[in-house]
Amino acid sequence: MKARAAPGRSLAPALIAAALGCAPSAAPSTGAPDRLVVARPAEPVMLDPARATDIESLEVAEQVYGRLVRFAPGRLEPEPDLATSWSVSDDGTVWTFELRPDVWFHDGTPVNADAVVFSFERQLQADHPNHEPDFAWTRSFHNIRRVRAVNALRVQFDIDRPYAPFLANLATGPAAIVSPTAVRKLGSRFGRHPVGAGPYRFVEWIPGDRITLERNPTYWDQQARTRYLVLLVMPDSRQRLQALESGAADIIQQLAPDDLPLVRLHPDLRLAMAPAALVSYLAMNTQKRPLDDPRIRRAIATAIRRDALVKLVYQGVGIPAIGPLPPNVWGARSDVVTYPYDPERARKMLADAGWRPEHATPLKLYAPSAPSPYMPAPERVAAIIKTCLGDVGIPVEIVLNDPAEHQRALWAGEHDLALHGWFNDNGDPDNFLYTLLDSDNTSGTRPSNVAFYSNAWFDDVIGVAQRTTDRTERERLYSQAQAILATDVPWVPLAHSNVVFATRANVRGLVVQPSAMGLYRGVERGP
Amino acid sequence: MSDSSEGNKVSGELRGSTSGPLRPAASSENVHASSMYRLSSILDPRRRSGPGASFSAVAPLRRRGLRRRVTAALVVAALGPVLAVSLVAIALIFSSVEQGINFEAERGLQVARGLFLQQVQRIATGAGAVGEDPALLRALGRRAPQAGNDVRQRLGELSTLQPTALLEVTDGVGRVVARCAQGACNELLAGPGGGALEASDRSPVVRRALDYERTVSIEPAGAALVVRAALPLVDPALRLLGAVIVTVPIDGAVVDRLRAALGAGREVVVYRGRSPNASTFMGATGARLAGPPVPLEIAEAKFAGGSVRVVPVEVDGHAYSVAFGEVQDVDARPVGLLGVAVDREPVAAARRRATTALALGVFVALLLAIGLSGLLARRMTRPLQRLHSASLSVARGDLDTKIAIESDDEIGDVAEAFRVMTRSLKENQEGLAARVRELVTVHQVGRAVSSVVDLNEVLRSVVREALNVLSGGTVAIALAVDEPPRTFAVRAVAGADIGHQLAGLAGVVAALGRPRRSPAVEADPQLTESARAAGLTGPIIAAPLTLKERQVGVIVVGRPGEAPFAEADLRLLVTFADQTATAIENARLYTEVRAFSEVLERRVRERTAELENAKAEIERTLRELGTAQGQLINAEKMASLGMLVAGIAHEVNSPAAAVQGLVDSLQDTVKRLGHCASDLFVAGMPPGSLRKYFELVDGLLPEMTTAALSSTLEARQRGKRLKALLAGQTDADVAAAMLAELGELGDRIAPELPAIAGGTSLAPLAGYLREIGFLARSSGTIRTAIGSIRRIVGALKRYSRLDEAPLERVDLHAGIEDTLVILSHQLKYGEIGINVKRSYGKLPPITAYVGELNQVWTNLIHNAIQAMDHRGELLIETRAEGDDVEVAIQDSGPGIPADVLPRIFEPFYTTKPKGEGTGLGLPICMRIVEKHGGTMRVESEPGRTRFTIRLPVEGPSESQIAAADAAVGSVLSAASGPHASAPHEETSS
Repeated sequence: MKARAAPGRSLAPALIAAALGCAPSAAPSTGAPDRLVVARPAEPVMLDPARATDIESLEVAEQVYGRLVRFAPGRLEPEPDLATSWSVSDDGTVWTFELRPDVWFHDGTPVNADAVVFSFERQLQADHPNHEPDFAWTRSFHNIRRVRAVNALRVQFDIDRPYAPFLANLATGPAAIVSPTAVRKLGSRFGRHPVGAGPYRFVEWIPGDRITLERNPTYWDQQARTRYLVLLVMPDSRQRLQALESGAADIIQQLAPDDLPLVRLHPDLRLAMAPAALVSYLAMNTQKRPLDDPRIRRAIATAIRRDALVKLVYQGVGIPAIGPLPPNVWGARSDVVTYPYDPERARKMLADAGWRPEHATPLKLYAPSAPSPYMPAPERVAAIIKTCLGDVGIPVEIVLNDPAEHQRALWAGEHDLALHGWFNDNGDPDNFLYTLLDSDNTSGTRPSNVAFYSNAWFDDVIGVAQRTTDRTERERLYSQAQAILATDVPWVPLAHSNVVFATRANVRGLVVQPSAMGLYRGVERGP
Repeated sequence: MSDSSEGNKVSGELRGSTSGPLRPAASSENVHASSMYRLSSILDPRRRSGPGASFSAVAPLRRRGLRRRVTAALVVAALGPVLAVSLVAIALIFSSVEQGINFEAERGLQVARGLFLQQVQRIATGAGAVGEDPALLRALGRRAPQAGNDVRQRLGELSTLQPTALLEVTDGVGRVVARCAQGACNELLAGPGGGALEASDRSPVVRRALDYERTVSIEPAGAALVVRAALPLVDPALRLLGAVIVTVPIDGAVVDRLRAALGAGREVVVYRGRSPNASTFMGATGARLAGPPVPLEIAEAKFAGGSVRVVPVEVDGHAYSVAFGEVQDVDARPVGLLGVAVDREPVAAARRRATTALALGVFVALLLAIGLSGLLARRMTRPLQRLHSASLSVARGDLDTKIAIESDDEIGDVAEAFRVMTRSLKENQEGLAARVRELVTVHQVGRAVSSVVDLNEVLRSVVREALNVLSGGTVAIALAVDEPPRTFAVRAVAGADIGHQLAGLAGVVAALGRPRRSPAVEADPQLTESARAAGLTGPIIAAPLTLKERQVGVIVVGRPGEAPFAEADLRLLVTFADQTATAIENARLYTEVRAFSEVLERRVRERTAELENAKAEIERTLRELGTAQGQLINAEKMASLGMLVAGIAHEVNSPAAAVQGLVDSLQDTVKRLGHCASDLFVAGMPPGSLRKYFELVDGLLPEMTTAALSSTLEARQRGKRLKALLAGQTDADVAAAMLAELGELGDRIAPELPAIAGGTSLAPLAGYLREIGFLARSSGTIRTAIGSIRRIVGALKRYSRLDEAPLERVDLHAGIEDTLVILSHQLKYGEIGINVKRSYGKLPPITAYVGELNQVWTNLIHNAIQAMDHRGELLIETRAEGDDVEVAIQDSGPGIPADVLPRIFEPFYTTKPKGEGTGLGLPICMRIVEKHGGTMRVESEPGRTRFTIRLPVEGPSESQIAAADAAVGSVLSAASGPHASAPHEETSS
């Protein structure tokens, strides 16, 4: 009797202790510990990197695919990814990449030169068996003549002319290396079942709800710290914030500006901000009178109270722009001539330029009706600019359009003045200066130079810079180009805004890339 | 039964009857007795009644124990799990309820915080509306003198829309232009909650607003916590007009709204810093309470990254779980706490309910368990009791007992088994009685057989017993007389004499090779012939005595009359036969052993003789060895003596040669002195001068004996100087040269000479002086030489009293010094030499054999000199140490290698080239020191090897001397002894 009672007595507290100890923690759980949940405003369109153009798709592609080179964390500089090293021929037209050995796609296919050739050829060759008519980036690679596998781990690109930004282009989304096996097997359905060699592998896509990725255990670099990455679709910013507050999401994107104070005051939440590789600007149609006169353009620049505008409108998530290049893009200059707000001087400049306000027809200022990543309140900005210009005697008529119509009107050159912005995609200065201001891009159906700015000298400098692979020399040339722009003033540069994510306070290691994408593989969730 | 102490006596008896056979016998001496007792108890049924009675005495105790035990086990079996499960369930319920409450509190805090921040956001939005109010902006932009009034008027209107807020407008540099609340505007307005609000123009949010930034923050203002939103006031062209500041105190209204959203049983508290600012707690009278103070653990806690802590807090006698989280300002600085309290009453209620349910449940379970297990126990134990009583009656000896158990369970099986067991017990008991009789006989025969070595005695005993046991008429044992056994001779007979005739019958039985039982021997076809020959009739049994498959004899038992032998009789006879065969074998073996032991004894005697021879041989060898030892020791003594003689010869030779040389030249000197004396007399010096001169010379004589001679160069220089001094005197140059040879004396005497000469020649004066000087010097040298010879001879004399010197009081220093003298030629060795350093302490004379000690010093110093290769430093230290004295001899040689050091006191261990050392020096030194009751130790490192000898002042005791004398002789045979030693020779390294 005695002998039996003893274990009973000692067992009960042990069991009680076990029951108490093993019970789940009462702390508000924010999902499984090995799962990182990111709430984003929109559903991706397509996860085939050759077809995706929206940021949501590209961000998923960024996690799933490897590229020859990738952007270093927080910077717009290419660093080795699937290629360990590269070299350029003396004439600048042959780029040779050495591939990292012993790397596999998520489906087990080896990452080799053939896979690289396949990934580019299917985009470049219209008759490629895996070419799709809606490949969106074929133009980005139009300068590639040939992609050749020299051996299993060496790839050679022949390009039509020396083109220094080529390397940066290979770090962009469409340069992702896809698994040839998966593409051949899935055909056009590949976009729903992506297979790459990135830090995460695709698990499932529940349309309208979520995409789930899982850590790639064979990733060549440091493995992702959380096992699952779940990307939720939550169109409503309020809903995203509530998900973050409740812990249903660990990270949210595109915080509404009104919600910033709440996040700042909430001890559970943090803002994760990084300067984005983008610029917002007031484009002046240099092909139209009176804006073909640089004196008028300079006067307009002087008439706009830009610093206050940026402070008031961006509310701390953007900085006033000096030129087209954000300060985190290499080669950006801050010492060029600027036009500080001075209405008196602006009036004088206008008078000197022969401006007759009483005879002037109002300038049409085109603005999008909806906020965009580069401009939180375009209507407000337009109103301020109208007031400012009105002050100095330039009548302005605001034309508000929905974003698509706005874009179309700009391509058509219907505007005198236009609020526009550019999201850089390869981190190269050329991507701003050539794309937005070279005369090459004033023609065609979708001219990206919406100021229709054409300056032979500028074009020449940009052209030389493209052909030069020496970084220092390129910096010198871009410096010159920025000086030309500062005096020619095809735009009034407005702001470089920050990418703003909000996270739970226990989220560590998140890197918000200038591309506005999150770098999630280093993210850890604390207790 | 053994657990009952009062049943000792009973159980003792029980052991005898039942449990005894299962146990090993208590001790060997009563084996026989107890076995006989057992035997008789089985054979004698009367003895059974005693133990049987004792069974029934114990039985009731046992029966009750069994049922009680079964009942208890069943109760525990039923109740234990119930209790354990209940406890665990209760613990789980408690913890989950606790967790539930904590979780509720945390959720509540999260919800409250979200709602609170939404309120803050609404306040910010409200401020935004104020900031964009066109009328206000117009009024501000007016710049007219009454602009202030316009602003105040408009702000007053706006303030009615936000009744809880204090509205302020500043100008572009932050000066307050208007301050309004609830429609009233006053520069020094009190806060809407009644408490004074701190002027907001110092708030950081205002500074931010004047930089175009819209900010909302939670700030301490005065004693309260407020929400403060500020935003820039700009005109359409973005000119900064000022800022608008909306301040809303976090008061009861705010927390009430939060509480309303949280639901019943929840309370909300906001703290400014760590003191309550607003709460929803109501007192019993309905008055709002300030809220509980912050518990210490929360006040000191660090809230990292929005963490939440839940602690139990008591408010107004009511228990709550309060979740605390921080409230931070726009720069993420903590400014206060938000607490959400959840009523703990549900926990307490759940605890009460659970405890009651548990208690009730356990009670009911206990009742059920006791009732059921009692029933069960009775049912289970009833057949057992029957079985028990049956087994008791069987134990009493009633083997006809019937068991009334007819069940199909295990107890039924046991009962059936019991029945079978009882039956077989009964059968066995009957067989046993017969068997026991046989065994007793066999036992007796066996004992007789095994105890007797004499074969005839054995055989007689066997036939006697066989006759008795088998009720025979005649018994005979015939043994084979040849090999292989064919012919038999009768060796022992009991009963009728006819047994003597049975040799033939024995042969037949042996030939059959197996026991034979015949109801009538005359009718047995195989035996009939031999039986008739012997005249034997009637029933017989016969068995061959078989030894290793050989029939060595036969035992035959005949019986008069008709009664035939039973099978058991034959079995018994076979046993007799086996025992007899064994006895025959034993007798044979005994004979063999005796023969063998005789051989052995002879051998032992032979060996003993051999050993004695060997012993004599060994003794002789030992004697020879002793002689050799003596010779060796003498050799060592001779070696040290030789060492001495070489030195002494040199020491004595050198001064002798010097004396010899001087003596040779002295004759010439005396001759020359004679000439000088005559010259002096013929020189014709003034009277008195000569006497004066001799007086002078006599005075100088002692000096001359020791005066140093000048070197040639010195003499020449001195000569020149003296020549100049004596210039003008007769024969000055000759005199100067002669005087110069006298050295300083010449200098001193020269000035005197001219006066003495008085113009005569100085040469005789100087010449005489020179010769006298030489003579004096020579005599001094000879005295020194003689002295040193005397010293050596004296030392030698003292030293050489090696063996004959008796034990006496000696001065150790004198002996050491003598030794140094004797070894002095080795100490100064050509150009180089050994620096002898003495560090003598004040030593009392000690009792010792001075000669033997001198041998020790000589050996050690000689070794040291050799180790240093004649150059270095020899340090001799002595000191008194209590009743001992210590002498240390230390050299600066290269040291003794570590592998050699332990062996240096071993006899014959030497590192010197073959033939140079005996290897006995140090061992003998060791023995000498030990003889004096002293010790010797050595320590060595490069540059310092030190032998330290410690001797008692009182000298050795008689026994030490005796032992040591023996030991010195046995140095050789003690090579492995504790003081094994060898000469100390460092030169080898």
